[in-house]
Amino acid sequence: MVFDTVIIGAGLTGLRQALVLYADNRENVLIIDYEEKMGGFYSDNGILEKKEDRKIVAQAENLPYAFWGKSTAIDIETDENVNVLTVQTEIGSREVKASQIIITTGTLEKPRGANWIPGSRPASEMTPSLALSFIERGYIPGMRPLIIIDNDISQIVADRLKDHPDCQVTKEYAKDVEILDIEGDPRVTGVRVLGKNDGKERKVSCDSFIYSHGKMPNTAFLRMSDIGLDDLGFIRTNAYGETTLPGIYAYGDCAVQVR
Amino acid sequence: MKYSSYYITKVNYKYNFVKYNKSYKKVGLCMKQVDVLVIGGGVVGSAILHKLSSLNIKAALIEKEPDLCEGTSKANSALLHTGFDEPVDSIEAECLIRSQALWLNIIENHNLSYEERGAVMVAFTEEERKVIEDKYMENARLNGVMVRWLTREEILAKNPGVNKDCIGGLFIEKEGIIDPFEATYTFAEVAVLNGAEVMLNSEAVQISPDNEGFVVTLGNDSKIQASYIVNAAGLHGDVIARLIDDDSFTLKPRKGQFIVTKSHIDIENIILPVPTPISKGKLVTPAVFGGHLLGPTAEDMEDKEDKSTTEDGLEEILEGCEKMVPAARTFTTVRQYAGLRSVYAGGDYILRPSDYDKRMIHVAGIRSTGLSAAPGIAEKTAEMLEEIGASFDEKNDWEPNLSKLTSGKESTDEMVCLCKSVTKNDIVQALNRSIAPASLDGVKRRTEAMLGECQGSCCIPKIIDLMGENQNIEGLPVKGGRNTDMAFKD
Repeated sequence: MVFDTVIIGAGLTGLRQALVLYADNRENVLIIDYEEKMGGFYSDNGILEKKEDRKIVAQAENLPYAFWGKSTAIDIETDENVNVLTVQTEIGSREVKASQIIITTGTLEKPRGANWIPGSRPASEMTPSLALSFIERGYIPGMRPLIIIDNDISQIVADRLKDHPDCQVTKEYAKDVEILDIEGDPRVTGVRVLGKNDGKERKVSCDSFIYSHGKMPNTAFLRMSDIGLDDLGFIRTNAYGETTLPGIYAYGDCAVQVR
Repeated sequence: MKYSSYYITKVNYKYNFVKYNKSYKKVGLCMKQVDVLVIGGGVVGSAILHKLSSLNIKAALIEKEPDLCEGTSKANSALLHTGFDEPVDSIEAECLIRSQALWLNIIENHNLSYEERGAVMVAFTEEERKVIEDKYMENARLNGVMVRWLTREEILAKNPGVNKDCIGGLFIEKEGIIDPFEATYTFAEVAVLNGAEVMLNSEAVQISPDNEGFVVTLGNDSKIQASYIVNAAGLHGDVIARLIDDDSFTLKPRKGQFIVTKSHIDIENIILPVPTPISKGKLVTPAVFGGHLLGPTAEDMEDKEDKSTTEDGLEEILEGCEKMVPAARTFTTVRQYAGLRSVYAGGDYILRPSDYDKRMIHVAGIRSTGLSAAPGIAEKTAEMLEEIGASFDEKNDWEPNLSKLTSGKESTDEMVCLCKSVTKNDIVQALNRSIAPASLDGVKRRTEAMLGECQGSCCIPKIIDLMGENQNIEGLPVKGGRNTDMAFKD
């Protein structure tokens, strides 16, 4: 299949790019996303709480562009000035050709492992977005969760569990504490933290631990490609979003601007 | 809110009896009867069951956890070790040496992930060169393992990440890397395909010898009559021995911490240091899942459940590895883990019939080489069974082809795990295997999903949905060992 432009990732950044293309009278555009619907990774979890964000999704849904949900880019190759994108879909992998590819795959939460936090590896330790997915499915992560507030999603998890009759939430702010280690097996029994202000160590007793710190680029599918990535996997671009390969652009959280 | 589900260990008997079992018959009221009962579903127990399934006997395996591969077999260096450095004439060396030829067959027959990377023991000083020449070259020769000296240039050509100050090293060509999970499940599933039985959530709590053999009582009060028992309970082998009042050995856990890297590292071989009298040192090895493993530590412990990583342990690994691979400290990591090897003070394996009742064979104290030595241990175990009176001959219709076990279940094929490129169909196939996963960790070990850098935060919800649809879980999502739930029902 041949398209003028393919946008990889239907989160807010990708959908804004789609609206720009439409304003520019571009036709024959395909938008793909890992999730079933537009709106990005967290839209199913009710995170699009801002009115203007919901408006962007609604506008994008009405564009005369093709949208493939449950469709994930797995490789990009450049072949005689045509970009060939391999997409894993419900019916297997498909090749898509496009003169222009826009990558807006965003980031993933950086979990405990990537942050070198030692300790046991219990069942009830998870990132805020995973906790949110559980809540959406009718589960709660624990009766006495410790939530490290570090970003919007962790705040939303805390807000959702705040009034739950069976949940006694403890909040710690990432700016105030350093996580030393996790205790408990098979479930969390406590987390040792170091106060950044008073330099004192203490143990927070809890039965589940909701934590992530920092972001990792969602660019695993580019590992085998020739697109320039930095050491952490972010896509290298210039001020215009151009990557190191012609016709391929990257915007938003998955990209890093380098001179 | 169901408070009853809080802190519970849920035993789901639905999955105890594995499908495709040809030999299951009801004996008496509900006493199952087998010729040989293997206790312990790690790689060693599974390899033994695999071997027994090629013989004309009725064999079964019991495992206390909800899945196989829940102990030492899931947290190790994932190496196939030749035994070049093991003490000459030890049982361990014998099993390792026997295993080399057996593994080649097993890998080919069952199409296992394996890479013969070769290991280099890197020398940085003339003293280290001398240790290699005097000790390790000679030891390897006596154990029949092919080794040769590599020049500095040869080492660096394949491993540019190694410290340029090295002066050369010992090349052990046949050292390889393998997927320990796949090996364990394949052994067990091939055994099941050939009539053996695997029972999960089945802990032996009592063993009573009688004229016919033993009556083994499980945690759920059901009983199994077995003519012979193979005690392959890993770290808990001494606990099983004591069930027949055999206190001839005690096993201690030795913790090994590891770091899994994400960074691209220019290292093709398995890189080993020259051991000192005090320590074997830390290695850097590629892994079949991608990335490299750094480690392990060797910490003698008391607690058989403490698999925690520590700041000091991780620092010790980085310090050890950066001598050989200077950039080690700058690597990004996906995760860190620890495993507990089973150590017997006598040093060597314990591979013998019990002195208290010869009909129980101990396969214990397998330390860190269980994965590499498993096929050899399995053959030796079968020989011992014959020596103590079990009579059997080879089956002539043994079927090694696991593809006969595919469920035929169709699924759509969209991506589920972004980090490791695992699709929905991959997951559904795994969920319908003959030994089906009943936990998220079980899916992880069978598919590699959740093994990547996000550690499952993207795909766990989708996998839980699929496990529900395929009836691998009832109600709450189980994470792994001891049937622990990851979340509670609201």
